Amino acid sequence: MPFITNFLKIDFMNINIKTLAEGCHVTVNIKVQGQTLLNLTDNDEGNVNLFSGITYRFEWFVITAKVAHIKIEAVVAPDNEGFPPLTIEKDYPPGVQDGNVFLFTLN
Amino acid sequence: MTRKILLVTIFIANGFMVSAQNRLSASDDSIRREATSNAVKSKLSSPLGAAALSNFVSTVHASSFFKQGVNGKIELHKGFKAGWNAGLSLDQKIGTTDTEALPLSLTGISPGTTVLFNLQKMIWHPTFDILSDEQIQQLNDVETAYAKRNNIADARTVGLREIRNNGTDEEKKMALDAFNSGFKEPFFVNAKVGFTKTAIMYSKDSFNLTPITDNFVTPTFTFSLVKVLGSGFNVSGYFALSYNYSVNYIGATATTFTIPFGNTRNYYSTTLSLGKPAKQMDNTITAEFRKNIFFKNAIKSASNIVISPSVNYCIDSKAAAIFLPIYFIKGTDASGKLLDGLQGGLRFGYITNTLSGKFTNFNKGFNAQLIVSAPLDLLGVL
Repeated sequence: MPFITNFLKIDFMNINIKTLAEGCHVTVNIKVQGQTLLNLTDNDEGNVNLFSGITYRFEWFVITAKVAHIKIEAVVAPDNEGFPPLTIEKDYPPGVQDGNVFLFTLN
Repeated sequence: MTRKILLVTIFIANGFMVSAQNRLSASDDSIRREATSNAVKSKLSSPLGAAALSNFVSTVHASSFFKQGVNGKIELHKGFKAGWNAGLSLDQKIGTTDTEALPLSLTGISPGTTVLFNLQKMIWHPTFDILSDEQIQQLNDVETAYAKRNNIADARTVGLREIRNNGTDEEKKMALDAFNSGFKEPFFVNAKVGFTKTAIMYSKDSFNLTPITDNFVTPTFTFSLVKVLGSGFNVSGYFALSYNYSVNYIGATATTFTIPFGNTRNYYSTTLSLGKPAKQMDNTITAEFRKNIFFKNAIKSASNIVISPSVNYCIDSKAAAIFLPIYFIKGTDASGKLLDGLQGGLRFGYITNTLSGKFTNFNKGFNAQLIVSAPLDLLGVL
C-alpha cells in the first residue's frame, strides 16, 4: 500500500476516534458525499483512512436517560492542521438530546 | 350383622369419595375463572408485568401487591458495542408477614421468584445529510463566533443544545432548526426470556385434607418494539408494543378448614386449595405510552411527573386491563442530578374479564399500588 500511494502521490491519513457514553447513548459518523465511512456507537473505538483535499463531515449525537457523561476523542495521524486533536467532553441531565456537525478538510 | 353391614357401607362410600376427590381439579369453570383473574392481576401488576421494557422503572424497586404483600425487583445491566444491551433481573414476591426477601436459596431460586434475561438492540441512525455543505459552513461560522464570545477554545466542541440554551435569539433558532433537521430518536427491539418458580399447596382429598406441595417452573417470553419520542432537545417519552407468552399453574381458591385436634376439645385450622392446580397458557398484547412532564422553576431545576398508561389484552384468558402509573420525581439540581435517593409513584389499574361480554364491576376490577423506586430513568429504555 505505501508503494502504491507513493507511486500515485496520494496522501492519506488516518483518523482514530474513541467514544465513551455513561448513562446515555452516543453515535459518531464520518461522512463524505452522503456515504458513511465510519460509524461508532456508545463505548467504541475505530479508525478510517482519509485523503487530503476532500471535505468530510464529522457528526455526533447524544440521547440521555440518566445523569450522563460523554467523551469523544479524535486524532488524525500523522498530525494535520486540517484536523487538530479533538476532545468533546460533556455532562448532561437526564432526558435530553444533543448533537452537532462540522466540516473538515485535511491538508 | 347390622354393624358389619354398616362398616362395609362406610368403607365403600369412603372409597367412592376418595376416588371422586382425586378427580377434583381446578378445571371447574367458576374456580378456574376466578383463579385466572387472580393470575392475570398478579402478572400485570407486578414490576415485570405490564411494562414493555425490563428496566421500565429503575434498577431496584418495590411495589405493593394487593393484600398479598409487595414485589421486589433487582436488575443488572451491561451495555455492549453497536447498541446492544443485556440484563439479568430477579423479581421476588414478598408476603405481608415476611421480614426478608430471599430470591435465591441453597436449592436454587425460591418460590415466587422470576428470573429474566433481557437482550436489547438499539437501531439509531441520525444524520445531518439533509444539510448542504454551505448550510453546515454557515452553522460552523455561527458556532465559531459563539465559541469566541464564550471563551471556548475549540468551536468544534460546541453542542447545538448549548447554543439553544445560551446563544442569541438568532443563534438559538439556527441551532434548533439544524438539530431538528438531523436528529432522529432511536428505536429499540427488546426480547426477554425467563422463568418463574411457584409453589402451590393443595389437597386432592377433602376427607383427610392431606396437603401436597408442588413446585412449578414456568417459562415466560416477551418481545417488544419501542419508539422513543422527543421534542427539540428533550426526550418526551416512548411508545411501545409488546407481546408476551407465559405459562402459569393456577390453584383453586384457598379454603380454611377447622379440624378437631385428635380426641381433645381443641381445634386447629389449615388453609388449602382443593384440586390439582391447572396449567394455563396465555398470550398477552400490550400497548404502552410514556410521557415525561417537566415543570421548570426559577432555579432551572425540574419537578417531574411521568405517566405511563398501558392497555393489555390476554388472549387466552380473555382478560383486559388498563394501567395508569404516575411517578413523582422531586426534581434535579442545576447540573441535572436527581435530588432524591428514592422516588415514589402510584399505579392505578382496572382489570376486566371479557368472557361474558360484560365489564367487571369497577370496585372488583380496580386496584391501586404504591411504588417506591431508586431514581427513575426518564427514558427507561436506555
